[in-house]
Amino acid sequence: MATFGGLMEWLGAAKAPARREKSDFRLRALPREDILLYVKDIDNTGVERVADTRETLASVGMAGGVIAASVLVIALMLPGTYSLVVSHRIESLKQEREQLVNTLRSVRADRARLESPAQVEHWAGREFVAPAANAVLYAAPGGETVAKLSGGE
Amino acid sequence: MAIQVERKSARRAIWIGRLTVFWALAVFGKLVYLQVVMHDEYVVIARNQHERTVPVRATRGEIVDRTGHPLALSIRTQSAVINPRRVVDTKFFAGSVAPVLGIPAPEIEAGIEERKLRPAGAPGRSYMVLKRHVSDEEALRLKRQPFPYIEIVHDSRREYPNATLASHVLGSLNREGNGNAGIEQKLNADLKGTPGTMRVLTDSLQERYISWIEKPATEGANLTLTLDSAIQYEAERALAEGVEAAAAKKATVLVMRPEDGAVLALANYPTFDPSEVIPEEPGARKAALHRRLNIAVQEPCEPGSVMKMITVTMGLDTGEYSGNSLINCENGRFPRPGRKPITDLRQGYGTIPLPMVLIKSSNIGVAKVAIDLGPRTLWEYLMKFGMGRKTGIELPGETAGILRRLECQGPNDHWCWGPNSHEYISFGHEIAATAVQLARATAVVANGGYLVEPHLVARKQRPRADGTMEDLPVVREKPKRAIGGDTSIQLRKIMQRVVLEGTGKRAKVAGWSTGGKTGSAEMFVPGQGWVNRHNSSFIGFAPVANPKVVVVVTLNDTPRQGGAAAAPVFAKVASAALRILQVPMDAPETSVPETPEQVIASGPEKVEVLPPDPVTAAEPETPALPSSPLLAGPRAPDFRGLPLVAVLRRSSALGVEVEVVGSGRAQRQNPPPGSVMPAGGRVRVEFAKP
Repeated sequence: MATFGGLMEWLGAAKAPARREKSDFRLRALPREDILLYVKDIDNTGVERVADTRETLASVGMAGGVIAASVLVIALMLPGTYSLVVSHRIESLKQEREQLVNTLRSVRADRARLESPAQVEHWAGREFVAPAANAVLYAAPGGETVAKLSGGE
Repeated sequence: MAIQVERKSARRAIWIGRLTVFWALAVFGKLVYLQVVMHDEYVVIARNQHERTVPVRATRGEIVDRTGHPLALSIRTQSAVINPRRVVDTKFFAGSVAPVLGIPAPEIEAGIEERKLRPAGAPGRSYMVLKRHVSDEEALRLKRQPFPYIEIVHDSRREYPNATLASHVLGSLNREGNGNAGIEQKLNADLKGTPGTMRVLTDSLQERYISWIEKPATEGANLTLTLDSAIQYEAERALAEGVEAAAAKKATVLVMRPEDGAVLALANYPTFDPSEVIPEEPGARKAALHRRLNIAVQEPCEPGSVMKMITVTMGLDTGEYSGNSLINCENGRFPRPGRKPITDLRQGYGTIPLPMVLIKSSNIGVAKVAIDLGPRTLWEYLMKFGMGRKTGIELPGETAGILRRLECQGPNDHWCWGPNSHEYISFGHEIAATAVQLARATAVVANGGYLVEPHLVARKQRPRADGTMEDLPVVREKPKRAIGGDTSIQLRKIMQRVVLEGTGKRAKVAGWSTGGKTGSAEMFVPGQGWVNRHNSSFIGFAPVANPKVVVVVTLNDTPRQGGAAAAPVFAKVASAALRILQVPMDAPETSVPETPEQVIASGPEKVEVLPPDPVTAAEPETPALPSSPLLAGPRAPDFRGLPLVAVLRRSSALGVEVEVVGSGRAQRQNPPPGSVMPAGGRVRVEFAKP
């Protein structure tokens, strides 16, 4: 890794070793390349990190500020958003209520149809069975009774 | 070299900065233009996109009977409509839509083509209802069709769950949802309500998320009628049977509560289905409209003899006559010099008391009362009984009947009484009244002398937005005294005798005392003269002591007279009404029609005592004990040895139901004599010839 030419040579060595032997296309060494392409290893083991409190505080403050601002914005938007969601819900409930009221009307119509006098008589005529005499309880005559049969002959 | 590069970079930076500033200014300028200059315009556009005014429909009010049973109610539906002019390929459209709607494709195709050919401005050219009251599934399938011009619009369907029951009272709706008959028409404004408006905000999917009422809708008022659907049903059935039995063409029956004029039932024959749409074809349309005619309030007819009730009332109420006043009925023919004689139709009567004039329905008798008291008095009493005036019942097209002016307004005035009009009016000619007018007049006698206002609406309520009900005022006139209370009682007793011994024997009701009057007016047919067909009627009330119902029956164009045609209908309707209203009985429930055998048997009985039946003698008669004290009925009487008529009379008097087998004299019975019968049980009596 000493020179750029060496690098190129290393790169090209693996790909075309045969051609390298036939023709010399290597770049010539650049003037002062050993200086320009010198890489000096830096040893930071001796460096001591000094805590910069101001910068840290500033960074944390910045982050905190951004978060606080975000929370504030979200908090400000939250009631509006919530009311929007609730409004949607209320509207859907209103429509559902209308549908249920309509269904109720429809059910009432069906019920009235089944309870109509003609229908009741139709079913009474088909399904009614006269109960046995001893299965019928007769209440004692009330105050409004204007005539009653005597108990004996 | 380095300085030049720095200058170039600085210049470039300055240009970028300038461009940025220009861009920012342009954006700012555009914002100012949009937000300030075009503010109003864009606000309108935005509102149109997100904010709309939608109508708030007012639901048509419900109609229920006095027990709360629904008679008419509205259900919200949806209908599919199109603009026929937007249909490009009619055949393809009809073929696609027909299976969804279940309508034949040629029918849809023909409808669209016919509308397309209509001239500009003609109704229906740009609007066609594909199908009314489509189901949710049908609507969804229609929306999926590749025809954006199919619209699903709000609609409403009026339900009459009892089919034809009380159709003439309820009426019906036209296509626009307005009443075209009955209470639906008369109280359309109350029932319909007023639609309101609502503002709604919609999101990008056009789903509403906020709405507020701009103008509140006024819901249609709910009506509670005085009708009783059970009485109405019985009345309609009895009327149909009566029409068939009497071969009548039209008929009406009206049941009214006499104390306040509340109509409990009102039925006409023929009737109609309120749900049916009136057809366009002229012949069918005429027939449909004929069925919708409310005879009880729209078609007056000569009342005939029922008018005698008013004439006799006049005689008694003025004090000029009493129950003992004698009237010479001229043996059935009352000749007047220069005038047509008045005759009694059935048979002639000599001098009879005033009550017998009504009981035997003597034309001459009532004519003499009218002649004696004069036309002005008769006019005044006709007014007191509400003749010639609308009753104010909540039904459309009510007629005031026919009652001409008492005094002529000039020599050419023919709409006034002639010199002998009062004689004819006294027995129901030269006058016409509707069934509801006759019911009101009968109620005067039945309620102690007050003229009431016949009405159908007991209560009006309007639903509020919070779900509660607001009571609306129902304005009604107070009953006015028309005749004295004593006169009313006298009349009721006389009219009871009409049923017991006069022309209205078929109006007897088992279990309740009834009073009434028959009426028959011969029909005059233009071109044919007087034909042997009648408008037969019966007016009556029950029970006599404290009437709870007034029933008026009229059968038009029947060969039978009132006593034979209308009285049986009265009996059926009154019996059903009294039973449903749970009116206490005041007469024997098991009344047996009088037969000649009974008349003969009413003499002193000679009961031959037969030797005891070997079967019954062998078995000692031990009175059966009831299984529960509550099951105790009467003890079985001893019918053995009695002839049939005696058994019937005795069982009728005791209120014991009997089952008769064979003929001759009673040989054996079950249960045996003296045993306690189960309540409601009957005695089987076997007869054999001795």
